[in-house]
Amino acid sequence: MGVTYVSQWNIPEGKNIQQGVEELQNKAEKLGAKKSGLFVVECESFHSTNAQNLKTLHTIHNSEYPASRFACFEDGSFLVTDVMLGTFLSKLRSVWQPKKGGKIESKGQRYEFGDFIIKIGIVSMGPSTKGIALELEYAPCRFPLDCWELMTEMLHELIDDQAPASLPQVIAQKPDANLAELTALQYIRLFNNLRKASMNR
Amino acid sequence: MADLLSQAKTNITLLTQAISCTQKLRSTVTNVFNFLCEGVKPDEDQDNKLEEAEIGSLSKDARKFLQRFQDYLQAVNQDYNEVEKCCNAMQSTTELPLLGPLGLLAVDPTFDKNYFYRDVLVAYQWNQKMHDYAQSSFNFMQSNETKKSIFPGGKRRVRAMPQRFQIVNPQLIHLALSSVQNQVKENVVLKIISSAGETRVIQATVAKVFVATILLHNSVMEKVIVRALSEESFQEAGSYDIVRDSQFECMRRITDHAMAAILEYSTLHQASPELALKYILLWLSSYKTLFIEKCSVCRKHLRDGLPPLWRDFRNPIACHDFCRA
Repeated sequence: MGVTYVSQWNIPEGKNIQQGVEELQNKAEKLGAKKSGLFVVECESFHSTNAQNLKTLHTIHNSEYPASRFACFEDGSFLVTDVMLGTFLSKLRSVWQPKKGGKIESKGQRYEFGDFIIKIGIVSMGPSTKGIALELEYAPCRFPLDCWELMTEMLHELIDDQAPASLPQVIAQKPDANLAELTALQYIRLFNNLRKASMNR
Repeated sequence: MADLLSQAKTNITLLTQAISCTQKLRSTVTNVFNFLCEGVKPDEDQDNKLEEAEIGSLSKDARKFLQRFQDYLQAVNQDYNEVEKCCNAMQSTTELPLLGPLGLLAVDPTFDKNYFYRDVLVAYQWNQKMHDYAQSSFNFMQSNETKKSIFPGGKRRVRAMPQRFQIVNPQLIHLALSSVQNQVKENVVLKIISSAGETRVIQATVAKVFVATILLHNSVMEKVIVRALSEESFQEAGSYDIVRDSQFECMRRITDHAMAAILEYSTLHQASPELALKYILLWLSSYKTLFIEKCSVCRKHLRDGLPPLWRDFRNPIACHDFCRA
C-alpha cells in the first residue's frame, strides 16, 4: 500500500493497442523491471432509481486489495467494504441499478522494479478495448506530496514524453486521503475519460 | 574449592552407608513387630507343664518368647548404633557456596520435570574447564612468544580492554532516553516497547519516513531494524518482531547503514554509550528528507530505483550509495 499514480498512456501514431502495450512493456523491462504476475482493476457503475437523486455510484475491485471492494460516490464520499459489496448491491436493486454498459476494467501485466510497482493494463469495456492505462506505485512512502518528485523522475525514466508536469488534481485536492481511495479515484477519472472519448467518437 | 569437593565426596559415601544401615534397621524393627503379631509356635508336649505354668513360674514357651524378643531388640539396638555412627561421622558443611537464583531453582519441588539446573551445572563445569584450558594455553604461548616487530625494542601496542558489562540502574537509562528525546524533539519519537532486566526494545519513529527498532542492552545498542511505516511490527501472537527484515529494498539498505553507524558511534564514544545513542538518533533524524531531498552529488532523486540512502556519519547530507565513492 503506497502512493500511486494512474494515467492513460497515449499510443503512438500508427500502432494498435497490442503494439502499444508491448512497447510499454519493453520500456519497463529495459529499466530492469521484473514480471510479477497479472493485475486487474474493475469498475462497475450504478445509478440511483430515485429521480431526484442523480448520483452515480462506482464500485472498484482492485486485485492489489483482494479482500476489499471500494465504493465511491460522485459527490466525493468513499467507502471501503469487503467482497460482499456486489451481492449487497444486487439486493438493493430497487435503490441502485447497474448502469448499462457500465462495467469497465483495466487488465494486464504487473512489474516490480526495486520498491516500485508498474502496472500496464489494457482498458476494455466488454469486448471492446478503449486504451492503455499505466499505474506507478511507490510502496515505502505513504505521503503523496513528499514523494511526488521522486515518482516524477521515475515516470520520466519510463515514459519520458508523457510524464505528468504537475500533481494530478485528484491528489492535489485530497493529499491526506486514504491511499486506496486516491488510487480508486484516479482509476474512476481515467475510466470516465475513456468512456467519454469513446462516446464522442 | 577442592576441600569442599572432597568433603562432599566423603559425605556422599557416608550417606550411602547410612541409608543401607537405616534399611537394615527398618527390617529388624519390622521383624520385631512381625514377631509380636505372630507370637511363638508352642511346643508339642505342653499339656503336662500347663499346671506348672499357672502356678507362677514362667513356662518354657514364654521364656522362649522373651528370649527371641530380647534377641530382636538387641539386633535393633545394634543397627541403630551403626546408623548413629554414620550420622556422627558426617561433617556439616559450614560454608555453603552462594548460588543465588540458581540455588532457588534447585529447591524447586518440580525439579524432576525439567533438567534445567542439571544442565546449568554441566554448562558451568564446562565453562570452568574451558577457562582453565584457556589460561594454561595462554601461559604456554606467552613463554613461546616470538618477537616480530622490526623496530628496535618495539613497544607492545596496548589494546583497549573491551568494556565489561556493568549493572546500570534502569532509572539512569530512562533519564538518558528522555534527555535524548528532548534533543531530537519531534523529528524522532521514541517509545519503549518492552524491557526485561537489562534489555530494552525501543521504537524510534522518524517522522513520515520509517520506524527503527533498536535493541538496547543497558545503554549499549546491539541491533537495529528499519522498516517502513506501513509494515506491521507486531507479530500475530502480540510480541514485537525484532528479527524479520523489511520487505522494501530501501529500508533494508538503511538497516545496513544503521548497523554501520552503531559500530561507528559506539567505538567513537566507548566511554559513554548514552552519547553514542544520542548521535545515532540524530543521524537517524537526518533521514526525515529521505523521499524529498535529492542526492547532493548527482542532483537526482533516484539511482537504480532507490532514493539517496546514505547519510554521512560526520556531516549527514543525502547521497546515493554509489555516489559517495
